[in-house]
Amino acid sequence: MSFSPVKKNLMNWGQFPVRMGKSYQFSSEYELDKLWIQLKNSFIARGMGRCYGDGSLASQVLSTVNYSHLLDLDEEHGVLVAESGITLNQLLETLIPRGWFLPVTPGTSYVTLGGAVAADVHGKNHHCDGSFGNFISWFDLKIPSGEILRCSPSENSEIFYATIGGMGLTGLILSVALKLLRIETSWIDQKIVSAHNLEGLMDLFESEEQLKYSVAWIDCLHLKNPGHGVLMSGRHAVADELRTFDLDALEINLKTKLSVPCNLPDWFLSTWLVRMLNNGYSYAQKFQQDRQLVPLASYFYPLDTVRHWNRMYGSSGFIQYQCVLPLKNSKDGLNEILWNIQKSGEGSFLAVLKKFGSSNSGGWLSFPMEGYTLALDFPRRSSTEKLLKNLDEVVSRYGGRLYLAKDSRGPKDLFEQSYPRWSEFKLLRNKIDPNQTLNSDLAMRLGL
Amino acid sequence: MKEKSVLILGASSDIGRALAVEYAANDYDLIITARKPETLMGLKNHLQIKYECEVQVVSLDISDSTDLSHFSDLMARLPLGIINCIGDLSDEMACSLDSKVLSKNYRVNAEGPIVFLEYFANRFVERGFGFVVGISSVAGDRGRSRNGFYGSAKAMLSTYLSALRNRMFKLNVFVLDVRPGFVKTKMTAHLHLPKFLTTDPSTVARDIFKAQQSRKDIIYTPFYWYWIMMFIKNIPEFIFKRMKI
Repeated sequence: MSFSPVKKNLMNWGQFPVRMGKSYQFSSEYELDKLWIQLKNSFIARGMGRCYGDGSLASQVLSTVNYSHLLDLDEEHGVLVAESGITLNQLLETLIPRGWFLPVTPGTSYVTLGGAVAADVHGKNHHCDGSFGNFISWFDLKIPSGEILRCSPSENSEIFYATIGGMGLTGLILSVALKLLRIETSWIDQKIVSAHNLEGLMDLFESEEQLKYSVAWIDCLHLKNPGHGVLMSGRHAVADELRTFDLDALEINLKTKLSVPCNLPDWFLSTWLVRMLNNGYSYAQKFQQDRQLVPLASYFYPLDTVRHWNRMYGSSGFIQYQCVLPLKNSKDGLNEILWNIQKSGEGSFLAVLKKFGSSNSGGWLSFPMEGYTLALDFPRRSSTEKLLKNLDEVVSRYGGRLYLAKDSRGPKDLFEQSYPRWSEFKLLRNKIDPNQTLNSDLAMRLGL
Repeated sequence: MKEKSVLILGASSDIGRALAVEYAANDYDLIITARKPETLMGLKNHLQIKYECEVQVVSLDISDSTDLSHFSDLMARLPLGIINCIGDLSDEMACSLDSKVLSKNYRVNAEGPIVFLEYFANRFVERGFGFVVGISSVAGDRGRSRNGFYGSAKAMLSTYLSALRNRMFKLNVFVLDVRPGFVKTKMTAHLHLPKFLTTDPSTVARDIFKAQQSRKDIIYTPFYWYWIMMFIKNIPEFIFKRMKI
C-alpha cells in the first residue's frame, strides 16, 4: 500500500488556520518505520487536532490516531503505559471502572496522550499538582534519525524536558508511562460560589485553595462588573459519601449526546447573543445548589457533551486566546485585559479563569507559571486582531505568556521574551534534527 | 478463557482491527492473523487489558500459504466462527499490465480467503455449528472500469459465499456476506471519497457484528449502499457501458 494519501484541508479545533496537507496513518511501529523512510519532506505528528491553532499543521502530518493501544496497566504501582495516539477518553473507559483516574486532565477528553505530553496540558488541579508533565515516568521518542530513545527525568533528560510542552518538534512520541491517581468514586463533590468582580473571584481562589480542583467562569461582557463570575471547585467524593445517595460508585458516562451537524453562519455567535447566553448562565447558576455531587465527566468535560461545538463559530473559525500572568501582576493585568475586551465590544462566550500553582513540570516550553491564566474564545472577525494585539501588549508588559497549543497568531517577539528557554530548545532541535525533518506551521511562524 | 472465540483473518486492516475490538467488547476471545504478526502486538495488549480476553496472534500470508492443517494446529481450539478481512485494492493499471500483479489480486482478494473459509466451514460442519463472515465489497456488484479487477475478485468471493450458504443451510453454519461501501481506511486513503457516503471502520464493524449475531445473509454497510447498488445494478448494460462511474 504505497499509495500516497489525498491532499485535504487540515485544521485544528479553532478551524483557523486551514491548510492543505496529506495525512499519513499508521497503527504499528512496523508501519511507522516504513513511513519514516517514505516521507521525504518535513512533517509533524498530529493526534485529534484538538489544539486550537497551527501546532499540528504542516504539509504532511503523521496521524497517530490509529496508534492507540494500551500496553500495560500496573495496578500495583498505578502506572499505565499506552501508545501515544490513544485518547484520554479511551483511557478513562478502562481506568474509571478499575478505580483509577488521570492525574491531570484538560477540559476535553478528546485529546491524545501524545498531544497531552507535547502541549504539557494542565487541568483544574494545577495549583495542587502541576501539569501533565509532572506525572510522566518515561516515554519512548522516535527522533528524526529514526532512532528510538527512552526518555525520563534520569535518562536522556534534556530531550525529556524539551519534549514536554515541545509541540512535537523533538520527535514522535511512541509510548508513554503515566502515573495514575487512585479514586474511590467517579463523582465530584462540587462547590459553586459566585463573585461580583474579579477581585472577589481571586479571593475565592485563595480561600478555596485546599480543594483539589478549581476553575472559574467569568462574564467578561457584564455591563456593570466585568469579571463577574462563578468559581467551581471540587474534590473526588469518597465511597462513604455516596452511600446515602444510591449512586453507582464507579460508573462512567463519557458519551457525547448532542452534535452541531455543520458550520453555523458566522454571525450566529454575535455579541448580543453571547451577552444573553452569559446572563442566562449566570441566572441559572443562582438555582444551582451550592454543593452537590456531580458525575466526573460533567465536571471535567462539560463541552464534550456537544460534538463539534467549534462549528458554532462558523466556517471563519475562532481564536482561543489563553495567556498566563505572573501572580504579582495578575490582578492589574487581568483588569486591563477585561477592560480592553469591554471597550472593543467583542464577546467571548467562553471565558475561563484559573489559578496556577508553583509546581512545574520542568518542560522547556511548558506554558504554566505561578499566577492566573485566562482563556477566551473570540469568533474570528476583521476587528478581532486589533483587540488581540492590544491584549498581546498587556500580556507582554506584565511579563505573561501565551499558550502555544491554543495559539495561531501570537507574535514571535512575545514568544521569545516569554519563553526564556526557547533558544536552548532551538539548539537542541538543531542537534537532533539538523534537517528539520519535523516541522510545523507553528514552529515556522515562531522561528523555532 | 471465554466461551466464545472468533478467528479474524487480516486483522491488521482497519476493518479487521475494528472488528477485533467489537468482538472483544462483546465477550469473545480472539485469534487474529496478519502477514507481519508484530503489527498486531499493540492491539493484542490493548484488548487483553481493556476487555480481559485472550488474544492469540498467528502469522499468515494469504498469498503463499496453503498448509491449512498446520495453521489450524496453531490454534488452541476451533473458534466459533471465522471472519475474513483480507483484501487489497489493487492498482487497476498495474493489474492490466503485469500478469503477476493480476494473479496476486485474485489470490489475495478471492482465492486465498476462499481456501481458508472453505476449510473452516468444513470443520464447523464436523463440529456441528459455526459462522463464516466474508468481507466482500459493493465493487463486486457491478464491474466498473476503475476497479474491475478488484471488483471481479470480490464478485467471486460473494458468489462463493452464496454457494457456501446454500450448501450450509441445513448444517447449522451461518454465512454472512458483507458489502461495505466507502470506508475511511488505509486502503482508501489515496482516493477522493465523497464525505457524506463515507463511513468509518468502527461503524462497519458494529454493523457486521449485529448482522452476524442475527444470522443475516447479506448486508450492505452503511445500509443506504443497498439502494445505491440496487440502482446501479439495474442500469441497462447498453447505457452502463457508456458511463464513467
